[in-house]
Amino acid sequence: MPIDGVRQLPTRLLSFTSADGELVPRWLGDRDRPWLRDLLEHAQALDGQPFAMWQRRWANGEADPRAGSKRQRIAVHVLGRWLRDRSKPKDLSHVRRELFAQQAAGVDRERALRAAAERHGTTAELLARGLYDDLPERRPIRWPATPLDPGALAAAANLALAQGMLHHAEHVRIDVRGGSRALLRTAWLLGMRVELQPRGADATRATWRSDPTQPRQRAPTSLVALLPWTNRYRLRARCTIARSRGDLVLATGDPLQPGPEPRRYDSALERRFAREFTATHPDWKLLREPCAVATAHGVAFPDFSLQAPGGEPWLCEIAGLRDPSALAAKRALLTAHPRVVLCVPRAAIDDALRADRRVVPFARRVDPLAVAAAIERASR
Amino acid sequence: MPKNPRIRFHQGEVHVDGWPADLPAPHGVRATGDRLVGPARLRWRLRAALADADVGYRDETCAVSIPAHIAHHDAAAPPPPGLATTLRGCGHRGVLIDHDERTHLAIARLLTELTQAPPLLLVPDTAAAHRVRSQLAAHTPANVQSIHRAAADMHWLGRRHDALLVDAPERMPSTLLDRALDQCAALARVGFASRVPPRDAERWCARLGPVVAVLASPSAPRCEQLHVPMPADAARQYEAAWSTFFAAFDRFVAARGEAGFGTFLAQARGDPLQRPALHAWHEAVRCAAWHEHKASLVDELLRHHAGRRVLLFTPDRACAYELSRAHLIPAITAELPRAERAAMLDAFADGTIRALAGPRLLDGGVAQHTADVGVLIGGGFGAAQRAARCQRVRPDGVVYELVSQDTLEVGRAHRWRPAAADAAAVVHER
Repeated sequence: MPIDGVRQLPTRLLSFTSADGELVPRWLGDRDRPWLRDLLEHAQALDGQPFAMWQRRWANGEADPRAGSKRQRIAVHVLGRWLRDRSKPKDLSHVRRELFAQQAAGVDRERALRAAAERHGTTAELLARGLYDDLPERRPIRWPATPLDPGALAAAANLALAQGMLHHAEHVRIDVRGGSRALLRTAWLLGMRVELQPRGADATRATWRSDPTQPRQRAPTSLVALLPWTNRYRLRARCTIARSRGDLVLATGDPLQPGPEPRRYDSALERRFAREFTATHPDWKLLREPCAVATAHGVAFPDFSLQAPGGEPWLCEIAGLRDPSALAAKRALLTAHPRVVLCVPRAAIDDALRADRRVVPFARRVDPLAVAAAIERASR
Repeated sequence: MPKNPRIRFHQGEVHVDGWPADLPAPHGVRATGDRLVGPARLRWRLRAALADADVGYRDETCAVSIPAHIAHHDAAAPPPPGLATTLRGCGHRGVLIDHDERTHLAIARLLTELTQAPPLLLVPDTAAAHRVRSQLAAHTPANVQSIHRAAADMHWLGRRHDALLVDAPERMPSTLLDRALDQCAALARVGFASRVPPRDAERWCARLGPVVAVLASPSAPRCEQLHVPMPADAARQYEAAWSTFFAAFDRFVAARGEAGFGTFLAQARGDPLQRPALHAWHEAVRCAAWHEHKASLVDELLRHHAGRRVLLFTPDRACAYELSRAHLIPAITAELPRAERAAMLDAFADGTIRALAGPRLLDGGVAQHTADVGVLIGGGFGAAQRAARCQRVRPDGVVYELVSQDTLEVGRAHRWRPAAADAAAVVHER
């Protein structure tokens, strides 16, 4: 079970070493599993207790010698946040307001409680006892039915650590290739500058620079959770954390917990094509959403990159055309990039498209053999 | 004829062109040719150096024109006579020893007129910020921030204001206060303190200015100290915790006679052998601060003063919630959503709600002289907080101080109250 809703660590908990101008995060890994398992067992024992008990336990306790003070505090912080967020009870502020107003109006305590309890379907005693149970530290801890894995906690802590470090960035550069649409769309929404590659074969680059005139500007920390969903990534950020200055480098393979999974295929048509193409052409390389391409209609994300052994990569766009007006954008993609194969419903093909060797007509399913043949034909 | 120095911001730094050759550059600013370059936050230091040397300058960092005299005062709330002149005489830098919150608002208005821009007003917490905002809203546009928020944001907030006001610096964490004052570029700086703690005097003098006026304090409410015996089990628990603490503290005093309790705390925090003693001390304070007998006495006091406006200053949040559940009194704690907290404080201010309980936020969240009765249940953080709590009560009101008998609270109550109040206090043994 993954730990969702991970947020960046505060500066005091950031753990890293400085070497050769880089700030290297101290990741939690498999060697931390023993003490993480004990930590999870302890948290499970507090099931049903108010969250303040958890805080009191770790405020006064000594560090586990296997963990070291800072690593343990990171894990406790991440787990504590998660436990507190997932046990969000009903808001009781209106009940409190009602009761206090009645008391101020001179109504007897017992009567006020009984009346409020009747209105909210509980007993006066329970209402009085749980009057503040919706406040963050009074919430009862609710342990999940599915047990948590220490590895998931370590990955979540690593994600929080990377986000916490990136929060101090002055300049961020991300090179990404494959499965990048969700990331690049988020980057664009966060105001990052996305540099599109003219040939579409290389990685797409997104850059961000802090602006001293925008005091409320925040570094794009939310992108870190999307990085593991891409095929290949490399993030380099210039950071100043307390008195340390250097580059934070995150790259493919770093032990980060992936965020919520982005939708893999836009349609059943694409899913079926990917499955059949892999089955019929096992030696070809198929890559989902390889890069963004600039067209006259804006930015296009071709669905696949298809590469024959020893050949050049070709982009493949499957146009389902649920909205017929989208055909203009597909034409623009065809014009913008020389190595694009466009699959279009047979009914939507006009004379101009029929003359283009890179267009593959289809009826109910896209034939992988026809696509491969079109690529071979156009490559000659 | 040499041109006047020109101060301007460039790429996040402050630049001064035409700095006088015979005038040394202030600390923290580097000279590059005839230009001084330094962090933006040091603007006030540059301006102060030029003003001290009587050199005219052009400040392009903000459009402010300082008039030679103040044209008019707000007729509704004039500052005390002579105070405006005193402040002008000391370059609008200094600390006022003053207990009257109306003076603070009057000075805020004065500085707004002077700088023709909203001043930055720092207060100890968010509840105090809410109170000051609602008091100032009708008259003066001021940027009111809690010290925690201001210390975090001062790197950009500090260069937007030419006047800085600090309300109750003695109740602010010194590290945060120093950080905020160091980063702020405001030249006009006035602090309102009820007293100057000796250890803070030097820092305040460097960052805010010297004490420029001591204003007469309004008469304080009557204080009644009620000595409450502890229940048997709480007394046993207290004794056990106290002896654990005292055994370690005794050893510490024997080894380092000159060091005080603060040094012991600092040392015990980092020493696993002494940490149990530290926990025991907290346990002893907790036992004495709140127990059944105090609960029944509070019950009695609430019945006795039914219909009057009562503030219950509790030692901690748990106690505030317990009182809230028992008497259906709103508890004001930092955990509550801010809107709910603000609504309760407003309801108390307009008299809809007659009682509030809380550990810290009532100290500044309720306007001065609003309550009829104050009850200091226990705990607390020193003389400044106690004074602030007593100021919430009207001069003709009454403050009850509940002190657990034969505990550390007796000594604390004696140390934390001012000498004059000590003489006037009525002590009830039970």
